[in-house]
Amino acid sequence: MSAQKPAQQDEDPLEMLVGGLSVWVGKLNEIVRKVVDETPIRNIINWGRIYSMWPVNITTACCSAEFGAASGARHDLERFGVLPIGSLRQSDLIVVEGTVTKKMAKRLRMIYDQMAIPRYVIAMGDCAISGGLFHDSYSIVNGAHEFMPVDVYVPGCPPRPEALEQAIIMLQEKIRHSKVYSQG
Amino acid sequence: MSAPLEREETIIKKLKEQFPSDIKASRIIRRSRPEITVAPEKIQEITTFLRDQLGFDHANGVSGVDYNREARFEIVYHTSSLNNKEMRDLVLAVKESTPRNAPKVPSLVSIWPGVENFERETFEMYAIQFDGHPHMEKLFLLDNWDGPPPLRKDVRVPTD
Repeated sequence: MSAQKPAQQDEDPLEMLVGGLSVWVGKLNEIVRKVVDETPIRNIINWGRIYSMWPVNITTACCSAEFGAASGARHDLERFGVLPIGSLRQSDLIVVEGTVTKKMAKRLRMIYDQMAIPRYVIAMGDCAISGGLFHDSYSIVNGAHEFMPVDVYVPGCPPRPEALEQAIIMLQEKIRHSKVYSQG
Repeated sequence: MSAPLEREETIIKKLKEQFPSDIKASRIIRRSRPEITVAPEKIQEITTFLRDQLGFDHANGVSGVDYNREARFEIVYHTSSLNNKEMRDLVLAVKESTPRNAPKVPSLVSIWPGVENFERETFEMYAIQFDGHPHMEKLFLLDNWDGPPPLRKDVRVPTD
């Protein structure tokens, strides 16, 4: 075989520098991830995430009445840091409140895609778990897990506000025991 | 208690006087809930009489019922009145039947314009043709829906 000419003879030195730098940045990223996940920094970041879970204002069906009751004065989800907020970009939590029709599933997925990572999903009510009363209907999605990953399921038709509080606490426990970069 | 049913009996009596052979059946379910069964060919005349003479100025809803063992569809128009103050709690059900293999009835959009979307929904759920309807198209189903009319009794929606 004839000797091939080296291709990098006229390479830009700046590109070489950037390439080498990006390798180092990648290694630095790995080091940062390792340090964050294996030291108490993880607990601090998770602590911040646990007590500022802001849900999206999206309602698909009647379980939203129970969500409203849970947000109200008697049950007061805000003591767990759950504060309904208007902006999707600032939200961390999406509570699928009830029946998900096929038309609404598209919109829910769109909202889920717009939220910033980390993002958590609670499927509230029997309809969001399996379709419930409307299982196998012509217009209903059989559960929210068919189009988005679900963290906590809350059974009930509708669930009591206490059940939703329990789900919030379970989600907080889940966040507390998980790594920083693998959430959402 | 015969006195509270006076209004209902008056309405049915007037209808039977006007259309002696077209009112196939009539019934008073309870107070302020009379119902009549009519022939589909005569329903436009009867509902015009209801609107103009008896004061039933709007339809509350249109329902389709699938009697698949009797091989027929039944269409129910619930009508009531807003203008007559003493008739406001009264809901009259006007029923008609059509054979199941070729369901086709005259549309009542020309009599009560508000039934347009109700009839469209009945069309998409049961595929009952309403003659004379301006937009006989899908209303609520998905845009890419190509299956059978979903609320018929013999339709099984496939599990996904």
